[in-house]
Amino acid sequence: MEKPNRIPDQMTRVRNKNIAYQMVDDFRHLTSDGVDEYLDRYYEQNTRFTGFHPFDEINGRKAVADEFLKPYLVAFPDARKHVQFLFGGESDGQDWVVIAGNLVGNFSEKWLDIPPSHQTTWVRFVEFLEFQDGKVVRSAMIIDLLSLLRQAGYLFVDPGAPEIITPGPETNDGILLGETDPLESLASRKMCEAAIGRGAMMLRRAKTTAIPDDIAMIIMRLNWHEDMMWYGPDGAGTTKGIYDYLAKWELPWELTMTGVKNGDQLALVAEDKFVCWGGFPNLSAKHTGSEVLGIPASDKIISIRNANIFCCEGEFVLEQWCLFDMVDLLNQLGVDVLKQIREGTAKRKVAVLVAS
Amino acid sequence: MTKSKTCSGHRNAVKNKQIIKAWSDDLRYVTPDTVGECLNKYWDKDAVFHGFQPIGDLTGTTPLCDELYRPYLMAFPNAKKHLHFLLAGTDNGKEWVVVGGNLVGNFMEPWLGIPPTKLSTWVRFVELYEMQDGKIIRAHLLYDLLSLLNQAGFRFFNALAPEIIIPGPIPNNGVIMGQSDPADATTSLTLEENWREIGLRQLQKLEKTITPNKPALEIVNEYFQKDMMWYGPDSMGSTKGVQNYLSRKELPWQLSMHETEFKKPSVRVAENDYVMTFGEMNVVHNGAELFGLPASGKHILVSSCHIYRREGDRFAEDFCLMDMTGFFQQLGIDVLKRVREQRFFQRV
Repeated sequence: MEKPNRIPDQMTRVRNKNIAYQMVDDFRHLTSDGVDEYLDRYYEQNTRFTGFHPFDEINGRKAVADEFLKPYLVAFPDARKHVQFLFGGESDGQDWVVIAGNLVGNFSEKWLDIPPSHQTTWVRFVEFLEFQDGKVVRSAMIIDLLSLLRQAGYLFVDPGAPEIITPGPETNDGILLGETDPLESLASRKMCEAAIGRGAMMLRRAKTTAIPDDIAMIIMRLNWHEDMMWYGPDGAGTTKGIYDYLAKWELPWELTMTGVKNGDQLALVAEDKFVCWGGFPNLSAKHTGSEVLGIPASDKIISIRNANIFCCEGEFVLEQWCLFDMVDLLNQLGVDVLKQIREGTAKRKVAVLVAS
Repeated sequence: MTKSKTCSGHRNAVKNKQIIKAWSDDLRYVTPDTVGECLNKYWDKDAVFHGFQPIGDLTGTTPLCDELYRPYLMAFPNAKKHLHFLLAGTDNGKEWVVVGGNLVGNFMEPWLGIPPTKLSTWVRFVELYEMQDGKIIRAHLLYDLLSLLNQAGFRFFNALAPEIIIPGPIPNNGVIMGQSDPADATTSLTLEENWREIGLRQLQKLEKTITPNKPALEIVNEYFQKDMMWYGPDSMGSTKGVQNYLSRKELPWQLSMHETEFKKPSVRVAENDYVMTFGEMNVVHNGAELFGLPASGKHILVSSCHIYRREGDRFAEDFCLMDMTGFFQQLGIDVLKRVREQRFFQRV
């Protein structure tokens, strides 16, 4: 088949993806001493970093190094990105690469006032990198900080579904380094836009109950595969199948947050069967229930930073990885988890009893 | 170095892998009523089956269906295999296929006496199939039942390291459908043999300290990357790095369990950077406390499996799965019996 020549970014995209892959490789051997050199190599001097709570916005290489990356690597000296997704594409005229997976390292020193567990720790992350002339001009990242806290022994939210170390795509094919079919990417983009736009809107209008009814199931089946996996962040958990997703996450969530609106997105990157959609924040809602987070309704208007990766199969979404900045959300609702840890008021996991 | 009898790339390897992949995929679409028919499609009707405790050894597809698959599918009606590994090779002239990953399904009805959670559940598995004329004639199955119990809220032991839902290998390339270069497999096999025959034995002969000493680190560093991942079954847990592997898992294990006989693995299969070894381990529990259990002096024979991933001249990952329910049963703790009798230590 002749390649359509109206997509001019194939070469840029492949180059950017390979730079991003090289960054992942370099990160493996990176220590806090090497951070400045690493950032010089890959980032524009005035690079802008949008992070998760408590980082928010950081401007410039030096500040990114001092405020975020160096202290992180002191705490996790052997951290490595176990990459499950790497793909890229254009969004609103900008060239983006998405990297996602788990940050795996031994939690050896205090970080963000969280006492180290001295155990191997898996922290899920999604990273957006915007490239210009082969350098990162803008980046954004969410990690599952609540999962890190759980692994360090702190419990804040009682989730409706199991909190796990999230695997990558079932088909083990989330790393796309070469060229891809633009038509396939376009189809995936359209499908996800329908799922997060029309599908979500219909579901909200249907005013469903806590127990999934036929209408909710039918709406979901328009865009989602019967076997769908939904990998939520800690505090939400992971579900399998449409019914399970509705019952354990989506409907309790709709009861907790009313009038969820999609706001400005950072990027919507589609390549082959994968789509990543994120914003910092790109969702707003009113907190009107206690179903999901267990916090009494406050009627506050909250905003949510989030990144969602979709894996399509045929005409349906087969897997979705949803990452919220849960710690930021809890903060907006008056639960400052990092402060609780500092002050020693955070709830800790009970010790496991010994069998005899 | 002795020449290995194990080789990959035999003419039926690709065909056998396709058969096992189809059997793995079909599991999603069968029901308790149709699984018998599906078994007969892929298995010889007199196939010999060696399972984890409490399933044990079975002969023929009818008992296999009645004891394992039908009850399993009633409990997990939408179970699907998420594959991390698919390898094939020959060992001693026999054709083998290895498949590993997680069985993902919603736990809807009791299974093996474990009450259902109605939640999504991940059961790690390794299955080893001996093939003849395109049919399964022998199989070894290991499931991480302690992990299932853990997810269902039953905890029994002090884990050595974090117990997690195991991800696949870091480069996402463990499912090998096509042909592979036998030379790569041979390199992987040689490294495994050297580690088992030389490195591990040296380590076992060292004077043991709970904190890894220099000689111990040097030995392991020779065979493993410094930032190696070691993934164990629940109760053992997972670790990153040579230092951590030694201090969390290997040294506490060796200080507690003494290997009484060096058994060679009964089956080895390798392709590309991956080597799978399967065999039995003979240990006596006469050393220090482990998993919160004081020395019992008991002799234990336990099935164990490793899938190693090589990166250059060293291993970067080791996925280890053992029949831990069988192991603890021999130590006198029948976890499933305790669940039935409501004698567990923590219901989370």
